[in-house]
Amino acid sequence: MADPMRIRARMEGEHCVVRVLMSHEMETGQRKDATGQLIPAWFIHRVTATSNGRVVFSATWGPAVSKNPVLQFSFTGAKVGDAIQITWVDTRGERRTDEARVSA
Amino acid sequence: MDDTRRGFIQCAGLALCLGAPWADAFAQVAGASAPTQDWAQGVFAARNVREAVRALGGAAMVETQEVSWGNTPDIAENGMVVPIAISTTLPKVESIGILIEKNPNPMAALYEVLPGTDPSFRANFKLGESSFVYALIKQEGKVLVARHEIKVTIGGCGG
Repeated sequence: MADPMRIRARMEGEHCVVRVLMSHEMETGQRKDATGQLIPAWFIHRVTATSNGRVVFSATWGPAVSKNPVLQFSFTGAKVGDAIQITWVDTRGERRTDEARVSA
Repeated sequence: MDDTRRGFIQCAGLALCLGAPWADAFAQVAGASAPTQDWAQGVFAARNVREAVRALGGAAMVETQEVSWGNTPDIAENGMVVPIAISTTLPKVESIGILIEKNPNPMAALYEVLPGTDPSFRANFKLGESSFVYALIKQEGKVLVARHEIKVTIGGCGG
């Protein structure tokens, strides 16, 4: 199982700004190992966020996202103390969900 | 054999989270074109900007100035980690795509702008070499395009 995400969600006026640090190799499928064999692509492909049962963020990523991805997005309609869940699914079908609370 | 495995993973994923308050998100993730190993589909199969615009449903490339690149650099010292920030003041945006022209797989990200989601996203990307980066803004069936050049002094591909 991959390491937990680090999630920070903070209110800035009307907007809840969410910063996420994920732990993932993010192999592009372009690199070769020591024996010259291509290392197969393996990266986070889908990321979603929900808050109060509402999907507030949905992204599809290609292989160009950096190793240990950093993500920032924002949405409206949240308040301090709300829970926010982030889920990623990678190209092997592995997934991870982590939760954080919105702070002031 | 691959198919059965994928089916199993999806079923397991769905079964695990039935009844959970965020089941919606899981259903969306699991249902969205079965990501496992089939990622190079749709707009992610595009080899250039034109193909990507077409895959997103745009008829022609229409330029827009209404895109802010935030703290996206003009010169990146390390192509492995290049922050790309995009936001727009355009109304009724459905999705924002990021395409890195010179990368082997140019389509880098596609963000849906859901009700309540701000059309403003930031993440770190790999650039194999200096390249134009395109923002593809889908708005009411049109695809508007803005571009930004990033010069890379050390590439982000290979070892």
